[in-house]
Amino acid sequence: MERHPLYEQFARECPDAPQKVRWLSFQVYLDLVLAKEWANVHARFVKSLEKIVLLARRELEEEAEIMVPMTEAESWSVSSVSILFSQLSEISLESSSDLESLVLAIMSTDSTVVYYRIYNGLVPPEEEKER
Amino acid sequence: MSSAVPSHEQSSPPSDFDTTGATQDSLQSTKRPIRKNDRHLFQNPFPLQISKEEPLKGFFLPITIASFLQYLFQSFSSLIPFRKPPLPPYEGVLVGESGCVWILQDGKAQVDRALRWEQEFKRKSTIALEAGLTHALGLGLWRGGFFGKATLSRGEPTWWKRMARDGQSTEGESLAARRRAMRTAQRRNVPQPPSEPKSTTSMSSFSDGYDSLVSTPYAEGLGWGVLTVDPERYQLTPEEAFFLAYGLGILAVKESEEGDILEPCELWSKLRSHPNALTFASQLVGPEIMTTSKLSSEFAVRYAAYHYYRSQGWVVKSGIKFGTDYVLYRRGPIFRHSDYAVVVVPSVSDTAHRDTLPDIPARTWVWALSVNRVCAQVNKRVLLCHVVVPSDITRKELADPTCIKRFAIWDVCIGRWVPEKTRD
Repeated sequence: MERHPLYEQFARECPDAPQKVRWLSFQVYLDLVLAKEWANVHARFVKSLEKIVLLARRELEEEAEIMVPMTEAESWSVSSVSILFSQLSEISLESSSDLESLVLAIMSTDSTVVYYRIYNGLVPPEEEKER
Repeated sequence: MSSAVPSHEQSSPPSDFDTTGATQDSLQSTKRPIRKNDRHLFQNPFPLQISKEEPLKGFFLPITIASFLQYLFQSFSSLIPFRKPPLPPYEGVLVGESGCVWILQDGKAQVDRALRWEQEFKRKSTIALEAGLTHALGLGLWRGGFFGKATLSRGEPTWWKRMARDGQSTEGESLAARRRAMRTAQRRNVPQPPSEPKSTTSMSSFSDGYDSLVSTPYAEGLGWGVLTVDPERYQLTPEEAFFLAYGLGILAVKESEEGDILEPCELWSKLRSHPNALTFASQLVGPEIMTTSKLSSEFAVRYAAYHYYRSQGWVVKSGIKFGTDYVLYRRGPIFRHSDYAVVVVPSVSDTAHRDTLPDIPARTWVWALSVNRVCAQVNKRVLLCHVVVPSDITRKELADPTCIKRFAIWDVCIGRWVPEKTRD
């Protein structure tokens, strides 16, 4: 992994992260940057969660999304997700308001990543657009 | 290779991405189009080719002096002391802490090693020895049974090709992206740009295009410039890696790039003990009694199911897109969508007999119906694969890969039955 051409750029952004959490986040990073071709992706180590989260933008004009990499085998619950929200709202970039939604990037052992958006609280149904 | 995009199936199957049920649209499938030489390329179910003219071992009559000497040498070569057996053609390294394996592809040394192995064992492997392509070795595993997956593509490594050809690529991933863009444009009633790929007459332009530099949009945002080397890697899941290393013997797995090759038993214990087996370590300190909860993250159980389906000829891939453990393909992901989605259910049997029903963990109907509903939308049947572990199995036995011989497999297919629809 260390010999990968993009690893140095990634490692520079999260120097204090322990080795065991790097590979997972690096894989999600590669998927976003190379496969999905998102414009801007930055890595940030969150010590309280022991994870490297990614702050990513699909286009340069858009707002940054927070991507939380997870493995298939990790278990999570409503309380663990609310912990995620509370810890990550502190590092949320631009807006001073509370973090509205997160994206969980779940990686399978064969390197497919599925993305799920989780909202903090209830989401009202979308207005029916005029047809 | 045909460059047009044919619709190759008579009844277009629903695509993997389509969960709204609108299956009969006129746009083509997102699957990579079947090419003329696919049947030839993918004829091997495993990464080994067994030649039809196998010499009968017991009745070999050496005809000439030369062949007699060769016969003697081969019979006694294993008795020569200090002679190391040749290394397997494929080499991989454990990455991350999750037991996944990346195939090492360093070029010439690997090619030489593969040839030496083939000579020694008189078996041809499907190693794709196309000179100049760094990802050719992974391709050999893809072509021989669809083992593994490239990290940036849906199957075989196509990232470099796709990037080099911009919007005109006919790879499955590019078709999927174009189709999605078309559909979004349709929904928003935006006039679409012409999207049919131009017929390419210059196919040769990208056979030597692997050396060219690739510049992609991300480069500007992050200020990297261009990539000169293919950043894609070929990845195997822990089950696939163990099957190839132990079951077929054609993969050598190292712990790190400079380290030694792991023996099968060492590999087994490494794969079982990776930190993703969350609470398993803490469960190890309890009493020896094996319970279903202890088995929920046990690699031996998942591997037993994988081995079972693989040895019957199914192609087993990850089922994360459908919320299950595995999906089964009859021939391979490029031919048809998968038929079954497998959920591995570990269970413990109290009796020593394999014929009586095991103690299956209690599940609610809500769980069964939710798994079924997701998979029914994508035309798959759900297979509950109960891996039955005898209750008297010890931790010491689990540390050895042959413990899977003691497991039994019961598989049950569940499906929704609607009386009106299935009258005949």
